Amino acid sequence: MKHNGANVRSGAVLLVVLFVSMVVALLSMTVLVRANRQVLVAGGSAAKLELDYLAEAGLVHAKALLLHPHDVAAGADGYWQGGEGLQIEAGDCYYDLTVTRPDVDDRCTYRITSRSYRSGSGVQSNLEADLRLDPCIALRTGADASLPGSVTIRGDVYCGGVLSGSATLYGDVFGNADAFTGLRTGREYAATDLNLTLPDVNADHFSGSIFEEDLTIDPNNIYDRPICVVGNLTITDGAIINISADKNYPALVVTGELSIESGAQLDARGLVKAGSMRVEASAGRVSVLGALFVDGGMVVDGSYVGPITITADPMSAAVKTSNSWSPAAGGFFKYVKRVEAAPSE
Amino acid sequence: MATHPAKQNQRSGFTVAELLVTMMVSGIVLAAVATLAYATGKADTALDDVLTGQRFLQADMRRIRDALRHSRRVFVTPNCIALWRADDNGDNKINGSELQFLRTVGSDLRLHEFRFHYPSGQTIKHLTIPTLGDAAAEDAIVLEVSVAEIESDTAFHELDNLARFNLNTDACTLMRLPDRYNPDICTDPGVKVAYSNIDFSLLSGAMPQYVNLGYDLTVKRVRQGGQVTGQTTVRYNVPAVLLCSADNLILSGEIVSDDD
Repeated sequence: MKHNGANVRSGAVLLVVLFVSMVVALLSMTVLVRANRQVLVAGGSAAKLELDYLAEAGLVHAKALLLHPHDVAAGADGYWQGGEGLQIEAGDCYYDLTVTRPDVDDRCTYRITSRSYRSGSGVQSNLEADLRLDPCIALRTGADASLPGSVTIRGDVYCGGVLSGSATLYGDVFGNADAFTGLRTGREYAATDLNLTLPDVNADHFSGSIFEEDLTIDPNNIYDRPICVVGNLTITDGAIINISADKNYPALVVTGELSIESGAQLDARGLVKAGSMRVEASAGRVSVLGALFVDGGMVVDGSYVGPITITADPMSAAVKTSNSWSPAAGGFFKYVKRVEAAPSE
Repeated sequence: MATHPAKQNQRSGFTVAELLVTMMVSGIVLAAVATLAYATGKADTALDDVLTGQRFLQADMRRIRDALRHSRRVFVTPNCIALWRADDNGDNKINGSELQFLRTVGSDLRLHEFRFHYPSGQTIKHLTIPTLGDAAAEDAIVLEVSVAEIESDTAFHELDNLARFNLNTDACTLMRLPDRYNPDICTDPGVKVAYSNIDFSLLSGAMPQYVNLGYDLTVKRVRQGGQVTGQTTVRYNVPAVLLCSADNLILSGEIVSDDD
């Protein structure tokens, strides 16, 4: 019995010690849980900040690829439409890019959405921006250019001589436009303000037919592939030429004079480059979707009713020969804004 | 066995001395634990207060950084800065609803914007600040603002007035200190935060894309009776590169037409 009584007393001490330990443990746990919560909150903020920067990096990535589209695959509409699961460095952070054209007729403005996310977590950052490629040259002439009212240009114009005529220009003019009397929506800059190299294009880097002498195209002699003429090219007698450039190659290169006469039509998608250019009063429609670069002067007869339409499309006109070239000399975002997160899949 | 029950009971209980010693030891231990718990609780509450304040400041800094980086143009105003957030309606002009204003209000740094509503079926009036007097209280308005009006602070004051009398214009504060951290508003004990010496600079003069917002941030702990127990002032700089640009629309400091 004495043995039993000793057991009861030592059990009571144990209970007291356990009670005190429990109180201390509970207090410690409370402190630890709260500290842990602070750490989690701080960690969540750091992750969000990292994803914010990643989403911005995605926008800059898209801008670079739209300014230099040579090595990315174009979608059905002729431009790079984004990618998924992209990474800047190895890890569990990714970003998706979506590129669209808010206005299908404006080929110099692209809407980019950038969604960055951490794999396996719900944290993400979403940005939307409109990128404008500017300046983006639709027509460049090395000497005087005379453009009557039947000429419409959507994009910027560079003129190394004197620009005259009454054309409609939806863009800026780099050069002397004092004699120009048409509609001009953009600004006038000095020719030296444009920092754009010329495309290095000749017969050595050409994907289509190459002619080493003067060529005349008439209805009996039609070409619908890219053409390079080392000499003069005359399109005449109602010939209808429709050329689309291969990716990274020009559509039409003429080292001499490009003449369009007598009911002839020229539809070109891509870069058209000529030594000089002349369009007769009787010529038919001339349409260039890409860029028209003329080393010398460009003369369009004053009574020509054509019309001539030149639309800047840097994606079609970009070429990759000895170097990578695009008629877009720069770009800027018109806005950047946060957008609501898309529902996760 | 019948003569032993009392002795048996005595052996199975505690003596008074044992109970007193146990209670004394337990009391000392519990008192120590209670003191520790109280001190830990107070420290935890104080730390929580500071951390919550820090989170607000981090969120504010992130908001300022976002506003700077995502704006098309930053204008220096007499109070602080104004930002052209975006050309929402694509009219190549600055509208009142497209501006954000980062301004000091006492010790606080606040981000404001004005929201314009366009009720369906209502004709929208396009007004400029000189013609703003033509607006009725119920008019839906697009208010065109010039760069000069932004830089002189006229735009902010006129928009603020407009928000007071026009039913379709709201003034919104996107960023501000919670009242309990603002020493101008709340004098209760706790953590207080104050902005001061705010300046804004263009880092490379001719390139408005590179900007810096600097400010002193003072964090102090105020006890009951107004006694300040800890105060730290740190200079912060928020350098930012503007991702967007309005250079194609602004020439010699004023809006011009463009091919946009």
